[in-house]
Amino acid sequence: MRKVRLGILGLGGRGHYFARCYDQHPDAELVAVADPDAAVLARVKPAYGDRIDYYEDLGKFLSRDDMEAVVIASPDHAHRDNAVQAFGCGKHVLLEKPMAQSVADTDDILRAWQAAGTVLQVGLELRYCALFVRMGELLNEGLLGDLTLGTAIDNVSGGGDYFYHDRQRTKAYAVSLLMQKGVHTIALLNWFLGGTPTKVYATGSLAYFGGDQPNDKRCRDCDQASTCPSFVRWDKFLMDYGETIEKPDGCVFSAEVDVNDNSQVLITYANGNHGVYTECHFTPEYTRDFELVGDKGKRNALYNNECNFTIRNQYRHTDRVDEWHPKSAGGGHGGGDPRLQQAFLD
Amino acid sequence: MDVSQVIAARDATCVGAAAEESIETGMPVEIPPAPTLDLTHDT
Repeated sequence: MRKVRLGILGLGGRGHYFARCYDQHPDAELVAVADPDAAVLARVKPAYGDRIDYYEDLGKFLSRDDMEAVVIASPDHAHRDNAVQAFGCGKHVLLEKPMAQSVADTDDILRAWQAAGTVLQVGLELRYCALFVRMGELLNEGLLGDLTLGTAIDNVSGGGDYFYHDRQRTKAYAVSLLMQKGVHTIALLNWFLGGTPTKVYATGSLAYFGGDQPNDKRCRDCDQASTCPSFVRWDKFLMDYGETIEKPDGCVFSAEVDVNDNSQVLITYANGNHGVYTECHFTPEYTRDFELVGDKGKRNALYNNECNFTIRNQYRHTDRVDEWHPKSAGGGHGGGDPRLQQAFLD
Repeated sequence: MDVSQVIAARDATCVGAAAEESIETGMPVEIPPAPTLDLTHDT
């Protein structure tokens, strides 16, 4: 198989993870990385040395004719411009989620993609996780009859660690965690209910994080670090996809925090189905819970980072119960990460 | 990734954006249909 020559745009934790994975991938050749921050480029250079090229200038990076594909792992607010520019240069694109931060920007990306005629893969790797692959197969088996209602809950025990120590804690930067975090689970719920979402009603609040602490307060300097449940090590933070990164350690109880830490979303679909999505960033557990209801029965599914996956069907007017326990093939996000990376190369 | 998965990613993003708008306004928010795409597009 010919190797796909690709580059990585944006070298935060996720971008560096993609760079390392594709650098070691037998079907890929990492040829370049780009980030507007020279210090970030300098930090990753020891890992790849002179084997690849380093760019602060995005235009020069994308104009390389010998680089056919790009992974865009820049900050969310840059996705629209980065993707449109990459498609304009004729690149195949793996775009990290969320696609963008607004409907208009997302649709701009779709139009640019169509004009380019290249590949677009969006970084929704859970679609490739063994649990959800099996869920997809079960959809086709019709055991529940006609599905009409679905509920999905994101229990994000690590929400404070992931989102409230850095810039993502403000609406000015992240807009909403319903996009930064929620799109994974919302995309799955949409898929299970088989419809195009047409209308949304939502509520939410900031119930746990935020407060009156100074915006520049950091865990490393805090005199309550030894007892604070939200303390993080800035120099050694373990992400849920197995990468240890450096991470800002701003206080999660800072005054500037304004992104909601809990939200409830009612979704109406064009096919008449309805979905309910709940996201909470201060739960004890880190799971995704699904409940799908059809006219013949109900399906519950559980995802967790330990990959103890469970799917359980109950049926109306009978004691019959079916259970499945799909096994992860290994890798981050329940095995979804390596399969997504391979799918992009295929 | 086939076209339907791309549209699914688009729709999920739109639900998130619309939900945030709904929280801000207290009102339901309609999601506009995706742009018409050439569905023969080879991904």
